[in-house]
Amino acid sequence: MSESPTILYCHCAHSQVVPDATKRPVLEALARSGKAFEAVADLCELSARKDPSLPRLLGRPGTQIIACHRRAVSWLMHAAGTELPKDTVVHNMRESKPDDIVSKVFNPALNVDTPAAVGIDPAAEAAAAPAAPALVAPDTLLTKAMP
Amino acid sequence: MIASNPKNALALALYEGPGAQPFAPDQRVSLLSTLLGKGYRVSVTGENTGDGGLRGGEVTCDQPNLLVLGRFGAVPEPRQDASGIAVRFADVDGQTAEAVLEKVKAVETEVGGTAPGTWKPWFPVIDYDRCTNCMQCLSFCLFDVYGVDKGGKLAVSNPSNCKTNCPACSRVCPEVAIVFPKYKSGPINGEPVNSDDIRREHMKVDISALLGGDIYQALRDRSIKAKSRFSKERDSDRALAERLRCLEKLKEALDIPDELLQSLPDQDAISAKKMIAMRRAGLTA
Ligand code: SF4
Ligand code: SF4
Repeated sequence: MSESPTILYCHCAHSQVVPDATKRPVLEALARSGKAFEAVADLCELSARKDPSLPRLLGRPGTQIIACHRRAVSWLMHAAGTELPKDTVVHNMRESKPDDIVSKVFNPALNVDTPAAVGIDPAAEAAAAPAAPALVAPDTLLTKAMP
Repeated sequence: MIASNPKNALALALYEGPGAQPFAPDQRVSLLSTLLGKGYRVSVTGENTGDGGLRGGEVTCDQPNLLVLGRFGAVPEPRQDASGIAVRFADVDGQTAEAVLEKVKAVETEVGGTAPGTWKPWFPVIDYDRCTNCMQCLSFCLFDVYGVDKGGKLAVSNPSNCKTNCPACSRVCPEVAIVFPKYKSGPINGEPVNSDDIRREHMKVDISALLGGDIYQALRDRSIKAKSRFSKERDSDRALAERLRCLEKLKEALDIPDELLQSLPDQDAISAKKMIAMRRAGLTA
């Protein structure tokens, strides 16, 4: 399985709480970058379904989540049966400007959204993430099929 | 109860690896906006340039069905991968996002999948760093959203029972421990709880000022009043009228829907709920 960092973008499709004026330019910048990322319609829904992809996505080192408040995302992941690693950066589209988010996503060194910076107790987050379920080894899934 | 995962769910990938041309940026943008807006999840492989894409060409999938959208010269044959995932390919070169959406829906029908996006995911999320397991939320909720786990700890057992846009239980939580991520304002929406005590005390003051006593009793009075056929004739009862005025304020201040106010249980029923939840979990209250 690949150890590449993952960008996980949440479109908050079922609600207006993330302003269009933020999520549209963020999505557009990601899409135009030509880089790989995972885009989900609604992270809340994945949490409610305890979606098996969440441990895998969070298990990748250097994952960045583009969604809303860190406390909400963190406990959504807990509700889904996985834990948000303390070094996972959460970009908050409810508060940050799209330009700031995009520049931090592509320059991770600029990120200061550490758990301590947003008032999360790292000790409470220290529980080990559950082992990722048996997953497809997709690294070769398509390359094998391609000419 | 929400299915743990939709049956025959279809995962989508925008593929730009070997054997396919990169998408024009405009097409990538419009495909993503359209598919996400309809509730789909999409894995974007990124361009296989060797330096631009983070994972050029790789696709990850946790669903039983994967539809790979790409600008293929020759569309690869469908196949089953080693882990049993059914992989299909579709050439979307030059197609509008709407045409691609139709293609996706057709494949979804073919695999017997359920279209996403029919439920607004509105449910409470517990901040267990703050929760003290007092069970006030469990007692308050009329829709059996809450239960207890095997260890006697509060659990959100039936998230899909939650009344969309109702954050009332988060208002009765004395610890600001209930998060509704889609709520309009903090700290209920998951904003950090700063100056905890000040905010908490402030919330308590709001409630007691509005009710002047036991929240359940006051709400029950409102319920009885609403159900009474003689309610209009008793408008001269100034005390009751005042209580109702306060409860209207409460309804606005706390976003409590009418439906909830109309069907409040009495105090005995509220206490019984905790006992039932404990028994369901195999515990004694
Ligand atoms: S995690 Fe936040 S941004 Fe994503 S769907 Fe839930 S409320 Fe919206
Ligand atoms: S009311 Fe708040 S503190 Fe009490 S059990 Fe519910 S979430 Fe926990």
